[in-house]
Amino acid sequence: MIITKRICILLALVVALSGCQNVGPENTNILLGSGDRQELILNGRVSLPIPTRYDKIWLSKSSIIISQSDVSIGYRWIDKEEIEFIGSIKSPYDFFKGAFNSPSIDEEKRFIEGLGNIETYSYASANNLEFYHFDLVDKQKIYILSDSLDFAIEVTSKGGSKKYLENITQNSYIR
Amino acid sequence: MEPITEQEKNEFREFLSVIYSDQTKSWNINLKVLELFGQLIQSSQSCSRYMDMAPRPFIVGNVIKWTSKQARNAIIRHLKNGGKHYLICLRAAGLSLKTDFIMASQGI
Repeated sequence: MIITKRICILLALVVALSGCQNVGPENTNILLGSGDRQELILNGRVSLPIPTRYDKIWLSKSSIIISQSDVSIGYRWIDKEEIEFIGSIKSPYDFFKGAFNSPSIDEEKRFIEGLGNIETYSYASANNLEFYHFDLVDKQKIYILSDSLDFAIEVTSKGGSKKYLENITQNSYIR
Repeated sequence: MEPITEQEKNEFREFLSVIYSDQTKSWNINLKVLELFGQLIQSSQSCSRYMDMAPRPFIVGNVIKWTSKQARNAIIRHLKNGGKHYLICLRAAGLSLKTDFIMASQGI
């Protein structure tokens, strides 16, 4: 399963680096490009807008980092296995929902503690997705949840514009 | 800055693997990664019941002196001496910093 995902993501990068061609609907885990709108599709389920300009893409086991000069955006998907690894038996949706709304178990409390100083926090929902947006000291993070997904998405923005993060909130969707 | 030796890198990679599993084997351990590790240690007050965050002489204000080999080695000794439960406790706090570690290991 992991290997399949990696192959799909690698295919995505090949498409991206070869000029962001449009691809047919049969290719579900790939990066689509069409003029000024480009989408990153994670696990074949969630489509996120990506910055229109970038010069480097890093791919690792469960994350993609897209950067240009001093702007870096990290996209990471967090599955149940990772939540179990930190010590919780909850689904990713229930874990993060609990942590953001009323942390009751130790792991949820520690997770919030690990975020550090939160300058501002906001919540939004659109297209059956929930967005928890944190302005932190040197970065911004958005956690994207849905009870219909078996994973959560974390977007980390260093130097990214507020407009791009608003774009994520408004234009991400479940496929 | 005193250069981080391969042995030190391996020790810190080992600590980070307790927090983040084997994915850390591919991480490049650099000063940014160590600073982030310090940030994780210092943000996790609730894990401090397992052990003190780091030996006091090597903290200036709130920042660990990672550029000092003596400080790094003191922290390595400190964590090797019964730090396993402490590192496991850091897993939940570290969840929100994993992307940051991946970025830092690439120098981002």
